[in-house]
Amino acid sequence: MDKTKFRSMLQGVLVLAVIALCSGLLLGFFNMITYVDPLQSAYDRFAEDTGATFSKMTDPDGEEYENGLVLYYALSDDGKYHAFLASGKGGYGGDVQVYVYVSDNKITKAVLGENAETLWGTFEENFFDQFIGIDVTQKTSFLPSDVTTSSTAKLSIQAVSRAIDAVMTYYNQNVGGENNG
Amino acid sequence: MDKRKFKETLLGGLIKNNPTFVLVLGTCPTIAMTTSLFQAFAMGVATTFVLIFSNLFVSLLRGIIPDKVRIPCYIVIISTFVIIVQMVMRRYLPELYTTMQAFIALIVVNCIILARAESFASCNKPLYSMLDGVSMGLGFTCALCLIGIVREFLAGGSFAGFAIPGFPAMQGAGASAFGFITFGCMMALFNFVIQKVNERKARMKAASLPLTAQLEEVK
Amino acid sequence: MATVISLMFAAVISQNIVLAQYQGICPFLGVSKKMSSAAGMGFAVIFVMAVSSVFTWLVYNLILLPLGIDYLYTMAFILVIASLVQLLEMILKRFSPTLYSALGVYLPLITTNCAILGTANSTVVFNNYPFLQAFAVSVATGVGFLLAICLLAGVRLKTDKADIPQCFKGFPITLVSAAIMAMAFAGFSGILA
Repeated sequence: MDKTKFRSMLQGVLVLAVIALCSGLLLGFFNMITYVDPLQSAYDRFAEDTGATFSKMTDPDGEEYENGLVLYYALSDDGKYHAFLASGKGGYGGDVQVYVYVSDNKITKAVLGENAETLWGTFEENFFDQFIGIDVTQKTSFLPSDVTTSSTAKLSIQAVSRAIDAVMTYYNQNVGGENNG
Repeated sequence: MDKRKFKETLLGGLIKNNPTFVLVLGTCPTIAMTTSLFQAFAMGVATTFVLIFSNLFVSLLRGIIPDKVRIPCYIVIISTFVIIVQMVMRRYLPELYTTMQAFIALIVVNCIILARAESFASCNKPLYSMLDGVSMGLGFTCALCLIGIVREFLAGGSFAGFAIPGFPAMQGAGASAFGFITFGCMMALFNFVIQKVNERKARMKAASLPLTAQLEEVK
Repeated sequence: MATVISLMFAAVISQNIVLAQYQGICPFLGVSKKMSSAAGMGFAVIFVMAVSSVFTWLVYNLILLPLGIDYLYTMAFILVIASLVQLLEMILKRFSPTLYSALGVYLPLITTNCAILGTANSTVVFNNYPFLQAFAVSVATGVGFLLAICLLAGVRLKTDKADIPQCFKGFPITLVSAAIMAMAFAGFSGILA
C-alpha cells in the first residue's frame, strides 16, 4: 500500500477516534450530573401533581399485565391519594407512561409521562382531562374505543388506554374500594 | 469591511437565507413541532443551541479534521450536543420532554445543522461561525414561532396557551394534513411579501436613478 | 404473526412515515420533481433502512445495552448509518455501476434523512422489537416512503404545469398537495383496530 495513503488514512481514523473519545467522556460526565433515579423522580412527580406528601413507595415493584404494567404505586401520607405510574404497551414509539391519581375510587388527574410518540400535536390540549372522574371500581376494563379524541394516532390512543386499564386492574385487585371508606 | 461581514452574517439567516422559508431545510420539526407556540419556541431554542456549538467546534477543528472523514466527525460533534440537550431537558423540563422526545433525538439529522457545518463553519473563523449559528437559529425559531402561532390559533383558538374569547377550537386542526397546509400557505405568504418588497425596491431604484444622474450633471 | 402484519400495514399506509409521522420530509419535498429520481430515492431509502435496521439492532443489543451506555444510541446509530451509506456507495461503485449510477446522487443525501434514524430509534430503542420484527417493520416503513414520494412526484407533474399564483409556485403548492395526500392516508387509520 502507498505510504502517504496509509498515513492519511491513519490520520483520519485517529482524529475521528480522538473526537469520539472526547465527546464520549463529555457525555458520560453530563449523564452523571443529570441522572436521576427513576423511583425518586416518580416520588417528585407524585408530590408535585397532587400537592400531598409521599414518604414511602407502597409498591416499588409494580405488576405486569398482558398489555400494560403498573411501575410504581404509592399511597399518600394522609391516605387520600393513590398515585400510580402506569405504562401502556403498543404505541408507535413503544411504551407510553401515564401518571394516574385516584382518590375516593375516582381518577382525579392523569398526566402524560415519558414516551417517544410522534403525534402529540394531533391531540387536543385537554386530552387527558377526559379521564377525570372515571370510577375505577365501576369499570372493569378500559378500551381504546372509550377514549374520545379527533386524533388519528390510533397507536398512541391504544397505549394510553392500556395504561389506564392497567391502573384499573391493579386498583381492583390490590387496593380495592373498602379500605378507602 | 469587517463590520459589514459581521452584519451580513448576523442578519443573513433571518430573511435572505431563512432556513425554513428560503432554503427549505429542516422541514420535519417545522411541521411536527409547531402545534403550539411554546413547543415551537422550545424546538427552535434547542436547535439554535446545537447549531451555535456545533458551528463553533467545527470551525475550531477545521484545520485538524482531514477532508475524508469530515462528515463522520461533524456528526459526532453534532450528536454530542444533541444528547446534551436531551439529557438536560429530561432532567429539568420533564413535562416538555414527554411531548418532544422523538423529535429532540432527530435534531441530529436536521439538515440545517449539517449544511451550515459543511458550507459555512468549515471555512470560516470561530466567531463568524458562531454568529452564523445565532442568525440561522434565530431565523429558524422565528419561522417556527410564526407557524406555531397560526396553528395554535386555528387548532385551539388560543395564543401562547391563553384562550382568546370568541374563537372556538377547530376539530382536527392538529392533524398532520393541517401542518403541511399551514406551512405551504405561510411560505407562499413569505414569498408574496418578499416579491412585493423587491418590486417596490426596484421601482424606487428606477425612479431615483435619473435624479442622481441629473444631480451628477449639475455638479 | 398477525401483529407483525398489522404493524407493517400501519407502517406503509395509516402511520406512513412521511405523511403521518412527519419524518423524512426534506427528501420528500426536495427529490420529488421527477418520477425517476423519486423512485430512485425511494428504493435507496428501502435499501439503507433494511440494512441499517440489521446493524443498529446488533449494535444496540450486543454493544450498547450490555455496556450500560444506551444513552449514546443517537450517536452510535447515526455513525452506523453514515458509515453504511459510505460503504454502500463504495461497494456499489465497484460491483454494480448501473445500480450505482441509478442511486448515486441520492445515496449521500440519505445520511441526513431523518426517516432512517427515526425508524431505527423507534423500532430498535423505543419499541425494542425482536430482530425479525424490527427488520420487517423497517422494510415496510421504507415501502411507505417509496409510495408517498412516488405519488407526490406524480402530483407534481401536474401542478408544475398548472396556472397558479406566482407566490405559490414551487414548494408551497407541493406542501398543499402533500396535505391533501396526508388527509387521504389518514382515512385508512380506521382499518387498524
